[in-house]
Amino acid sequence: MTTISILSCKKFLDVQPEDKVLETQLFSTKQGIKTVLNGLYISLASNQLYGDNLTLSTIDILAQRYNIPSTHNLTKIATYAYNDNPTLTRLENIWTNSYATILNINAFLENVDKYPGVLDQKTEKIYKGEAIAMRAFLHFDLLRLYGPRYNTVDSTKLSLPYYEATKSTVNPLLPANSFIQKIINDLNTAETFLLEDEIIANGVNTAAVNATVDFLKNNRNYRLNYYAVKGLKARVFLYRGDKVSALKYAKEVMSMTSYFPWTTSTNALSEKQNPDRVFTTEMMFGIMNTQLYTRYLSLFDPGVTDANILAPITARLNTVYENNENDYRFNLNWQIPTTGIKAYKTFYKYADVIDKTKVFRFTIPLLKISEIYLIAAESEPLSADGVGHLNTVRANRGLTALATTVNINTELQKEYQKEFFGEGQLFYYYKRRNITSVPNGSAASGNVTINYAVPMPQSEALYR
Amino acid sequence: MNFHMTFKNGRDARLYARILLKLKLTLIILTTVILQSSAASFAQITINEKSASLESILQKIRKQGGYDFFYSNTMLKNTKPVSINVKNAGVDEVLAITFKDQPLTYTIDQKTIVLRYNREPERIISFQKTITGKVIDERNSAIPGASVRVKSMPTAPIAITDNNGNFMISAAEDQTLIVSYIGYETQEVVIAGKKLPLTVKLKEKETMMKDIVITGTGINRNKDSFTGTTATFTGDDLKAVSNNNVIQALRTMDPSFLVIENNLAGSNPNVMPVIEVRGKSSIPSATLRDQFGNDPNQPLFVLDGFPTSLQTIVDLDMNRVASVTILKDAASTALYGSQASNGVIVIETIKPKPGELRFTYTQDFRLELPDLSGYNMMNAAEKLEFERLSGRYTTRDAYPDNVVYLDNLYSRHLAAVKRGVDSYWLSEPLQTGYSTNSSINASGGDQSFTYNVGMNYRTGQGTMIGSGRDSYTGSVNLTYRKKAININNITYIRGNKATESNYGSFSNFVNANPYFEKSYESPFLEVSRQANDNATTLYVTNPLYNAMQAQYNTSKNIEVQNNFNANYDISRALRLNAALQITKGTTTEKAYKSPEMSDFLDVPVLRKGKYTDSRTENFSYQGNLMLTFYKTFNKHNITVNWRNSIEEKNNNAYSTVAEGFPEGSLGNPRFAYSYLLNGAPQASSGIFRSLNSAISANYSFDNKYLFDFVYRVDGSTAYGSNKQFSPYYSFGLGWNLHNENFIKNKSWINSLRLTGNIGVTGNQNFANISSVSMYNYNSNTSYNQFGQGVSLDVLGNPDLEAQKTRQISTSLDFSLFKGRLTGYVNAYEKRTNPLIVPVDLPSSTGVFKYPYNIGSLTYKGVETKLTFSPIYNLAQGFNWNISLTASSFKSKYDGFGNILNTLNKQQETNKTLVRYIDGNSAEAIWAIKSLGIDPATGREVFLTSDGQYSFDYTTAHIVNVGNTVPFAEGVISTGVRYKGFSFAVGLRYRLGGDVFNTVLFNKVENISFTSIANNQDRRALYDRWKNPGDIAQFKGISQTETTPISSRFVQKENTLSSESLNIGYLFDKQPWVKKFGMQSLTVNLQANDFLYLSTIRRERGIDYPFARTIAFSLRASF
Repeated sequence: MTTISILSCKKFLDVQPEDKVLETQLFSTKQGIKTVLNGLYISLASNQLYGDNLTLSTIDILAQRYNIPSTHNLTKIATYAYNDNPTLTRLENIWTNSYATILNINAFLENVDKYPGVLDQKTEKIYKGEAIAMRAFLHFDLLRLYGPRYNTVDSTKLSLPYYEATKSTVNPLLPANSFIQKIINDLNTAETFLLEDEIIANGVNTAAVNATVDFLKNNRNYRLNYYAVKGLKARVFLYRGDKVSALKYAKEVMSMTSYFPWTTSTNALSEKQNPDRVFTTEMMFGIMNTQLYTRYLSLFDPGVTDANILAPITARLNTVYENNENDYRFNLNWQIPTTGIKAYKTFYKYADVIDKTKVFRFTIPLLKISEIYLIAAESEPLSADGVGHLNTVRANRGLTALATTVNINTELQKEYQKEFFGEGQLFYYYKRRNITSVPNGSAASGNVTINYAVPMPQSEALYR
Repeated sequence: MNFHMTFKNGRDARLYARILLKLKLTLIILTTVILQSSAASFAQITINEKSASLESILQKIRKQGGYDFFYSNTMLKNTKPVSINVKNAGVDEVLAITFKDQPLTYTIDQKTIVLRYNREPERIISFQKTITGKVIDERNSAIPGASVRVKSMPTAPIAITDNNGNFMISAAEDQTLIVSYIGYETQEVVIAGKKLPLTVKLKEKETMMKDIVITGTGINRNKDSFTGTTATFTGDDLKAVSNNNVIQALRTMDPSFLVIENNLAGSNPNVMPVIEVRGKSSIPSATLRDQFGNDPNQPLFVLDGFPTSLQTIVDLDMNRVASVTILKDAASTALYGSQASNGVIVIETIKPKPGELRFTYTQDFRLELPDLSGYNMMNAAEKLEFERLSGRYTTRDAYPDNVVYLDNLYSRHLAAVKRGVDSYWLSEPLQTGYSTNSSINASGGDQSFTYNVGMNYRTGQGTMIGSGRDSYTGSVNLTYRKKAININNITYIRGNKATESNYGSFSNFVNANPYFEKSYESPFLEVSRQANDNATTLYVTNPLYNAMQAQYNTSKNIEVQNNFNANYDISRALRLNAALQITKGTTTEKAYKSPEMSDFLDVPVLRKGKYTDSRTENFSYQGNLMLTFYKTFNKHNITVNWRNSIEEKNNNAYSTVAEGFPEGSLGNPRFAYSYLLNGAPQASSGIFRSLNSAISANYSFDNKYLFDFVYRVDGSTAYGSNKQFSPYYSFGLGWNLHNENFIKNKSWINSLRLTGNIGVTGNQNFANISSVSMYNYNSNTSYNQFGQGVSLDVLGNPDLEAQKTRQISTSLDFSLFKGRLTGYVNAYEKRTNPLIVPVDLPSSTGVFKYPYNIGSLTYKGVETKLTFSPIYNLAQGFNWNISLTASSFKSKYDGFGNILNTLNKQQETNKTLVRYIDGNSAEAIWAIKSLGIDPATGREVFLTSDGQYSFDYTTAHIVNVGNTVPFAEGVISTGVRYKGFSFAVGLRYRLGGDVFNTVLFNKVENISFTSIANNQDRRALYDRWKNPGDIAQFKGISQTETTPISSRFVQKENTLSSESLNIGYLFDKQPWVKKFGMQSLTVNLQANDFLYLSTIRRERGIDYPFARTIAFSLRASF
């Protein structure tokens, strides 16, 4: 009797809130687990992270992409005033949101183990692989932004904390080399988990708009798939200075280029109504940001005021693209507005298309096959081989081949400048290559020194 | 020492006289002082009367000669008038003349004169016979142990009823029996003409409210045998202080009940008061509260046996209140276990009484007058001068164009001042608030069925135009009694309507410049330029303009409630009680802002104007079942209660926002262009459940030694899933010294009791989400091809423990000199350990405000209440008393170690006055020590923690510079009652608390360059440093940089405020009262808060002014 009454008391007190979802509810169904995993990708696409800050605006402003005069609202970012707003808040947001997503990933991984048998083995492995890869991905970008400049000399400098479990205790700041080792470990684990990824057999498998999307099979390039993990490894190894490993993984991905086909001149030059401006076919990993066109309207649209618009000084832009209108990227994405509202070229890469049924809409790429070729080019022991990879990229951008004798590093830098507008990779390239003096985005001539000492945000530093 | 005594039955007068004489002699021997004074009055008698009544002559003899007379009124019936003229005569002589022709004679025995009939009246010879009978109670069950005696025969044997209530006694046919039993009203039974055996039904005694501690759980304690610290007030006590609401009245009555001054909301009728009983029991933090949660330091309110909301209490009709009991310590609150840490306020409404149909009608009126005495704003000329000195008209860049512009601006303002423009904006949004409350009540019924039907409607306007609160209640209360069953059911319907003023925040009017003319036309009083930046336009908003635009902000609430309560007496010693309450309520809030309002200045046309509609539904039930055991044998008295209760509360909220309204729209949502851009409906819901079981035992021996014990196990959804249940207990001892022999015969001690108790109680005013990890769907605009996603909303702490508060409390209660001096002294220690603290970790953990069990908070305090009655004459209905309450306490944090450093750093960055540091008070003020203003530079000089002088402000030097808790706070009051007339006044004093004077901080200093354009406190002009050498309290007048929080703004405050004044008159004997068909009529005039004296000058009521109130009540019963 007593037992029954105690049990029924316990049951009475076990209340399930209606306006929120309990962990137990979520992880007891397949659908629930799926929504948690998808929630991770949606967090990634938030404006605080890759939906804006780490792609469209903040990170590219730090790389001196745009003309940000003193009258511009974001001038504090372009002048590396890290302790002033809006820089302070944005860096704070990137940090806190990245780590919050990491907490979510860790909670996800723990709970998948805590509620066993809900998923079949294969699915469980793939889910876990993706989550672990995302953990590595986020930590890696945090390191690239807030960590010390990484080279063999200062690689033991204290960097950031690495979180692999949901704990309310504080993890120590790791030396940069241990930190990067953890990233590589996670990527290794992810790679093993993803051995049964559908992409290996079926490729990206893009679903038609409005079709039912299979969570495991479709649109693998919007998920941290098997090849994305390999590509990330190439990126991480190069950052670490391990060109041999970088080249190895780059080549493994390059052998699968057919899965990530290059864009076409038709798309880039002839298609005027609905061009795929971000070249989603080449994308190995990217996000869908449903707010993308709202962001576009407030950042790049010709209608945006001078104090708010993100656009380069025309002369600087021309230099970047070497005045070459054949370059798909230049021709397609940069135009002087036909309305005459602006006298300079504005950025169209993230403008919406006419046909709202295009599958590539809302996409921001985070890893493309082109970058893999550039990684390979930089990692080849022989410069001539490197130029070969570079020329592959150039060929697919409407450019002529370079002579094998060119200075590969000079050419790579140019290519990074052209390729990753609005994708955030240039700042990391500069930092990795220790390029401190870069063309001043806010002046027609002259250089500025990038301040790589991005401080640890207050919300972290105060409590350490 | 003069007795004047009358007897109904003259036959026995002598006998009584002898007994009393002996008693009196004993007393005289005991009190020689009195004997002497009596001897001194052994004087000669002088009387000169013609045809005076015998009685009046006897009175004179008594007065002059110091003699006591013993006689019965009936004896005086046939006496003759007396004519007498004696001067300094002896008593024998005087008596001889007086009784010359009377049918009476007398004997003198010492100083006692006993009157007798000349001839003893004829005795009716009566025969003794055996009377049998049975004593029963109202439920017709036998009362064993009742005593039966023959009236007027003190020496005759007394009979005691047996187990079946039967008795046998010998008495004469014409005699009367007196039947009595503890707890029942004594009854007289005339034997003549009754059939034998007699049946005597005793009525249960209605105990005086003051003698009972109502705990609200159905467990009521005799105050004399309870070890807890409580305070009980009757509805009339409270109504004599304020006719507004229970909360306002209670704060004057009890020192431990503190209403925290809300300087922001002032006397806004729609803002709920913040209440603390004996300090705080948790860190005040918004993060641990959810939408439906309460203030974690708010006491629990219990209305007619069921926990209820503060709002219900605020809206409760005071005319329905029978009593309010404050349960302060562990022994009295432990029955409420997890809800009890902040104290419990138990309110009982008037129960229907059997009898003829009775009507009571009460009409209350109140006037509220805004109190602006704290405001000290500049007039037009002063303001302009202040602006000039602050450099508003001095350009900082050298543009000649700007110089000209600013010169013109200055001369334009100067011209206005010269023209005599001096607008007093403060009066614009204000009015004299007026409220009325009509309350009508009918009750009646017979012994087995009683009823009460009541209704009240209160409508009120605040001091800001348009703000008001209306409320109404209807109730039907039915009681049915039959044998061992007693059923009571109350059905309530209640509601309120709250309206906010269109004038918005009062501060907008305080800030408006006096040199602008008042206007309703334009949204801006002026559009000008900043002195330091000729590109920036300065818009001076017109506070009157917004108020004139169409808008509303109202909320309506309606609630239906049913309380059911049933008692069943299984036997004399065992009672079963069951109660169930069901409540269903709805609150709707609607707010509209017209598109013309200045809020929408920069908003696209199609998005101007906003309409918000939100509704909250609540449903709850609470049920309990209790078994009571009561037994008295010999000198032992045992009460044991076992109570189980169950509770569930459901809340649902839903709201939508529409935006974009055509100009001129009055706010019908039909005219909205669309919903809020990218907005989705907001919805939230919550379920709270609790279960508990409590055992309460009370034992007293000989009514001298008292013992209390409570144990309760509480289960609730509020805490960690690993810790669903937690136990609470209390243990108390008491000693009724007045029942001890060594005190019993001290006539000046009427009551003296010492009690002490210890116990652990909890606090569950937290959100019920702290323990479980919860996910939430991402916002409506975030999704991807794969659909929606969820992310962690709260990372739960499953090991979170309930916050527990241990209280140790002692109390000394006394009543001395026949109740002329009464009072108590309480001392307590209240320690909450562990606290629940939302701790911020480094953001890399991804966790924010993670709830932890850390640290403790201890309150130690004493409180006292003394009432002294210089005049205490119940016979004449004349009573004057003076009363003092005082409360003093200290608090201390402990056990935080370094864990909360982070929280403190955050407080530092947020520039607040609060820190969590071991050994310091929860009410401490933290700031840097200031040494004042440097006469040479006009800058502030700080004292660093290592004793250096510095111009630089560093947060590292922040120290504890004061405490907001006063050394003592309380009320001094006095009341006079003479027959129907009553007068009472109560003054609140507050000695020695520190205050961070926000006016000095915001309106004398810290006036930023833009806010120079707002009106400021006069001291900003007169008391700020102007020239080198000035000794000033405030920094340079032209300095517009932010001033940090420093000890310069912390001031010691002593206040004296007149909390209440009451004048009343009760008409009940006047013939005209009857003529109008009334039984009685009471009129009352009250004034609250009409005076506020403080040693410092600060603004009170920032968003809404404080009010002085004058109230008038009229109560008629028919």
